[in-house]
Amino acid sequence: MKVRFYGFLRDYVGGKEFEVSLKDGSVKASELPEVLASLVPGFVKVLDLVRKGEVDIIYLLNGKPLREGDVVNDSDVVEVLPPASGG
Amino acid sequence: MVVRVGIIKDDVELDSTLKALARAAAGKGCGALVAFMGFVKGVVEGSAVRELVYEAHESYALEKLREIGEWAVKEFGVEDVVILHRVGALRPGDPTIYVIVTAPTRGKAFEAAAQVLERVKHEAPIYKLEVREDGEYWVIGDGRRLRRGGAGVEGAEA
Repeated sequence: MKVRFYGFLRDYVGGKEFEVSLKDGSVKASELPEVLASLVPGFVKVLDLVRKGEVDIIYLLNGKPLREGDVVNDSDVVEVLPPASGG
Repeated sequence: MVVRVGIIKDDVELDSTLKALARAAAGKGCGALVAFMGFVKGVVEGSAVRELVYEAHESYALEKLREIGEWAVKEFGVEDVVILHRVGALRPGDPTIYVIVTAPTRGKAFEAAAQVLERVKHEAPIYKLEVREDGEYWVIGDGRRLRRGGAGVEGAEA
């Protein structure tokens, strides 16, 4: 599975893109944050910010917002977006 | 009705763009055009800004910009909505975003342009790094700043 990060998240995880392998080949959407924290160095710090309510993040699955019932597979691309700051 | 959106690297030539929109909208009963252009601040929190570096998740940003433009047409009854956001390294005074709305009345045009801008700032996946004389700051959401190499999200005003 490819995982891409945007904005300040790249500083936290130490890179733009990671290729990781899911232990069972797939993961439920609800489990994705914890699985990413175990696979991507630094992502646990991002989850800490989310838990403290300091930022919200959005997950995209193959370019579309991740939905509750989705299953993420090893062949997918997951993108993690911080809060928008355009304008 | 035209909804035109873009993630762009270059400046927009405003005079010809606005005149073309006005000419086309005039025949559809419109008599108002509101154009908003955001630009890079030269000073933030007392520090000189060297540049503002924008990046976008381009495909999702274009999808969101189009969704916002189409929403504005339905919500406010305006004719045209143009939303163009720049990416790349921009210097103080450089345009960052253009929101242009044509409408039958000025009230609709002003209201739609203001609401479109707010939605773009909060919803479009576009990110900026502020490079200042006192360090580099990620701008988080609506104006909070996270110093690169620092220890948390600072609650600074926009």
